[in-house]
Amino acid sequence: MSTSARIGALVMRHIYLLQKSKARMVELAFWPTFEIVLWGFFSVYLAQMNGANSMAAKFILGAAVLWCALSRGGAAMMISFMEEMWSRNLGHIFVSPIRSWEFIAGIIVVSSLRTAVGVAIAVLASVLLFSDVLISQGPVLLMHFSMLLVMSWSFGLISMGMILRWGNSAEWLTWMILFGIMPVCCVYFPLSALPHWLQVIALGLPAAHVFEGMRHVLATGDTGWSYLGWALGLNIVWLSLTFAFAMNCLSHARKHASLVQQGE
Amino acid sequence: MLNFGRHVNLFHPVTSEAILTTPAFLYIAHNMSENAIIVRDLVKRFGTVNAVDGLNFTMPKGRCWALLGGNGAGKTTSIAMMLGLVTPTSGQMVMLGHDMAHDRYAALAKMNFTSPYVDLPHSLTVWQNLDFYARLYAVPNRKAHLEQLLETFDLVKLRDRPAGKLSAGQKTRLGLAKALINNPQLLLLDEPTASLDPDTGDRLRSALEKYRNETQASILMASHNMQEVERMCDHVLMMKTGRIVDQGSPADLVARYGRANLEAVFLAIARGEDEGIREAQA
Repeated sequence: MSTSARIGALVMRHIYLLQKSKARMVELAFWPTFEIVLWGFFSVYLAQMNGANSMAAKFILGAAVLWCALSRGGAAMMISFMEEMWSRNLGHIFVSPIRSWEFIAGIIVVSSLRTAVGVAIAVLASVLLFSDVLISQGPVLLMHFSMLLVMSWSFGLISMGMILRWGNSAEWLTWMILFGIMPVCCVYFPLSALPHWLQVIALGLPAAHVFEGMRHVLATGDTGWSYLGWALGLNIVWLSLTFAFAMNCLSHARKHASLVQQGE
Repeated sequence: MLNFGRHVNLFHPVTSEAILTTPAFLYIAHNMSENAIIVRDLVKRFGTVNAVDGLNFTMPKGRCWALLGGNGAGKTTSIAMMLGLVTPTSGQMVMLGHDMAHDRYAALAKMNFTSPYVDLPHSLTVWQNLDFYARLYAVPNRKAHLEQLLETFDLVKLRDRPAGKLSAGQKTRLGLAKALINNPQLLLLDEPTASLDPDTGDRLRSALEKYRNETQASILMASHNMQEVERMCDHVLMMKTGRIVDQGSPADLVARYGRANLEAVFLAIARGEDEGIREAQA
């Protein structure tokens, strides 16, 4: 029995779920599009105030698109896991031969697909409505997008672990973390805007390097490999740590018999 | 019965030649091939509560056994440990020859489980639920196998209905179809016919008996339905406060306790009216 078949089964289960639910399908694209339209119009307003070549307008639109990768990626990972909790299906899944890491990999694949679909629609909307700047820098920004998607996996693993360890009540805390890290990710302002002690924290997050890199790309047209390099290195560290945390929490759930008790 | 000891893992691949040739190892190796379940000194402690307190039994292959006991006796926790859903505090379990501590996934591929208390995804249809689990267990000839299961459990007309919109009896049938999806050699069932009407319950018991007769599969079930146990099981493990307090065939237990049926034996044990009988037996 192959690993790919078991991960594929999990992906198929979520495709079935999306097929059945129009609300879930709409939700996939709604929030990223909403955010981009909102910030897009704000960037248009800034451009009107400061001139058509205003960097601030480009930065805000680029930041809005990339923030979607992180926020929607994290949310998609959490929702994909919560779907199993809400349906009280974890018991049946974990008595099958699926390995714990395969389950996590399946959730990552599902959440990445959800994010890709949602953000692709939102990016299309932003290009149609606001600017061709994202197209001209597309391939480079795609690398920034990928880095943030990987960081969203780390967030998803932390959320998954917290819910497995502390139950459904931890769900609210995980949403707070997802949006609470936004200031230290330096999404809409440069790292230098933060006080020194917060800069130290921000530099420990891949997202701060990605958003700094994005501003560098849009301002100079230069790829800024060093930003991407830092983001990649930090992603590897964060992913390793959060994977170990999630596996530890899964083991904790087995020890405390909470796998079959999880649910609404 | 030989006690392995809770700190010695004789199933570890790096077992010395000296151990491999000892009579004890040969005895265990023989047991592993002949037995569906070997449980030794199994303990599960939650804080200060001993949910399972030194469980020991060996269930041969091809048999149908029951775990009986009142609420909180430790039946569900024991089954959850045998399925790898709950990690034991100590003790050892060997399922179909695989040590659950080190070779869990090999065992799980040959086992399955159902319980009316563990749901299947409500939003997915009957077919989608079965298809998902067939993929998870990498069932060959998936579609043909699923069609056959739908036929067996009278689910053909319900194939496109979401699981959440099924009646209790239909959900139980779906749960059993899922439990047989990988043609398991060992089935663990937690109150498989709870809350079913007599007709549906009887149909499901017949389906399980047919499966067992055709495949020689082993079944261990926790149940509160004594008639079901008397009909299906050839051996009963009576549990109380996490321990096996007595065991035997249903007829043997009824005779030994001098009661009219298994339900009366269950009541005698649950209410502590059995001390004299067990002391005399000892």
